[in-house]
Amino acid sequence: MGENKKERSVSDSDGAVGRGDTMEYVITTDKLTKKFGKKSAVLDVDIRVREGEIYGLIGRNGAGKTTIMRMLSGLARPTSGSYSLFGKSGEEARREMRSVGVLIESPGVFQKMSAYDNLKLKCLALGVEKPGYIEGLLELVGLQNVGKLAVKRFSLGMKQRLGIALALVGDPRLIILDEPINGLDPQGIVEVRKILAHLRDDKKITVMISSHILEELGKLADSYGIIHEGKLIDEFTNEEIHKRTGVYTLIQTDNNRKALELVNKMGFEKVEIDQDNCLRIGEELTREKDVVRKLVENDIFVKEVRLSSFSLEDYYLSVTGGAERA
Amino acid sequence: MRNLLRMDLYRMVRQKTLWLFSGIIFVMTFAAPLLTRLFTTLLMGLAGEESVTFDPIPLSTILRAPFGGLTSLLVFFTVFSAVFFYADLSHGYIKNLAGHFPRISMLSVSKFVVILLPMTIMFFVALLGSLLGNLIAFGIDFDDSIGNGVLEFLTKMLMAWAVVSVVLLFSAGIRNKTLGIILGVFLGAGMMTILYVPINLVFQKLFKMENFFVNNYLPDQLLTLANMEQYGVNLLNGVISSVIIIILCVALTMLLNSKKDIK
Repeated sequence: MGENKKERSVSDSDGAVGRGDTMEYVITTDKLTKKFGKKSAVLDVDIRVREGEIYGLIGRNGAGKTTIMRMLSGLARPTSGSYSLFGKSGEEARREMRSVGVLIESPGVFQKMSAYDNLKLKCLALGVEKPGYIEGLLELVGLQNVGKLAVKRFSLGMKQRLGIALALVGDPRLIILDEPINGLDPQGIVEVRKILAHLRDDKKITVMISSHILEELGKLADSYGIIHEGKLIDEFTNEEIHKRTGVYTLIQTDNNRKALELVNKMGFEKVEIDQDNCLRIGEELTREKDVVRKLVENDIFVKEVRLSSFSLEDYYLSVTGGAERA
Repeated sequence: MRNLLRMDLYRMVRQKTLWLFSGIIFVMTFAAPLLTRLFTTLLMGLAGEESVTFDPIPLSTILRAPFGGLTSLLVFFTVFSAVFFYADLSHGYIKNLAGHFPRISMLSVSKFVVILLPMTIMFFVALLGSLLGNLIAFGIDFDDSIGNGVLEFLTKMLMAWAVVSVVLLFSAGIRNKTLGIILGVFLGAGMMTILYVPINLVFQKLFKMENFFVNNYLPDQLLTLANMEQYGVNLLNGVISSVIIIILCVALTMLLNSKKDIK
């Protein structure tokens, strides 16, 4: 899944790219903010996306993911703050958008035209005239047999793949995909995942992707940014998530509330009842027998005790306050 | 800009409605003189006239009024324009393009230039239908005013372009397709008189300009005149007002595009 990266550099305030021993950042934002009236949809967001990686933007519906992507795609103007693309900021960044392909929300296609014609339009607009180019894109996304069919006859998955093909017109160095797997069946999700992995690994394209399907994102992305209520509350790599979160113990009982009080009194601090109605103790238990004995002595039936590690979903819920706490 | 023009032209010629509307215009302008002759002959017959003679129609007359008495056929052009201008937005295709162009307003300007193609097609199709219909029904007289007729024909094309610049402002600038289409219908059918009557009253009563009629300066009204000069309207009025309206509407559209986010 891509080569391991070194520690990030801290970019300066106008988003200059770190060089030498530090990362090449394709996207940097500096206090990026978008307001609609008095409401801040995005507030003071500082994102760093490294070259050649898949960056996953995580957040629930309405968190601000799409708004951030719209600003980086040139579809919306920031209220304040700035961003840089490929090390360029201001008007130069605007010009660099020619190297950025986007798929924001649903694919923007002319339904009555064929997939081929939809791609042809963008090729004409960008001055792309290589023979076989459109056929190559259709083959890349698995639409080579339906290129002449009207898009209105496509399934949702096929339209999403066409949207990805449109984002790839002009050979971008960066593609921004907003929830590209929404509404897809499992096979469609797998197909999109394969395409994105191929783009990163073989074509060296940087991908910024948003999704609230964390399990799927966890299989694909190299780095993540968590957006909550318009703010970036955390940013980390796949390696860093394991260092931060470690392991935890799950205990399934028939009376979690009482069990929670008892375990708290035993001196364990990170105790909570999670989304699956299990008692979660945020560490590996060395006194497992003592805990179980204590629960049993207090007439609590212990169904299961197991060790687990934090998934991306677990970590996301823990930082956004998604689980019930002690 | 050249690339955008190529893109819009590619989509334009694949619009089935362009050819459908052009076909309808041809049929109606071709049939109109034939039906006129038929009904006139029938009515005269009913009135007791045994034979009716018809003079050939001067070519300049046909050139001045390519749509004949059916100027409301321009509605096909104005509505087609409203839909074409807004299509990128309504289908969301603009999301694929907007980031690639620092000045997004060029997307609208390109469409405004490309709309000259269907305008030219519809005008010449109307002229062809009218010529053939009149040739069969009445015959055509190659008169001395053909030059003026050509001038008025071209002026009316310019005025039609000015009319759709207003449609552009509402559909692509203000980004309201419904309003753009409604305006297209009103302007294309020459129905804005409702609005101009009170304006004329204001100028006549308030500013004491007795002989001032705003209709003499607005392209959508001038297009309804079969012969502008016969109505005492200088062709230059049409040219100047059209150019001013085009410049204003395109400039406003560009300004509005530069201020708005893409939804």
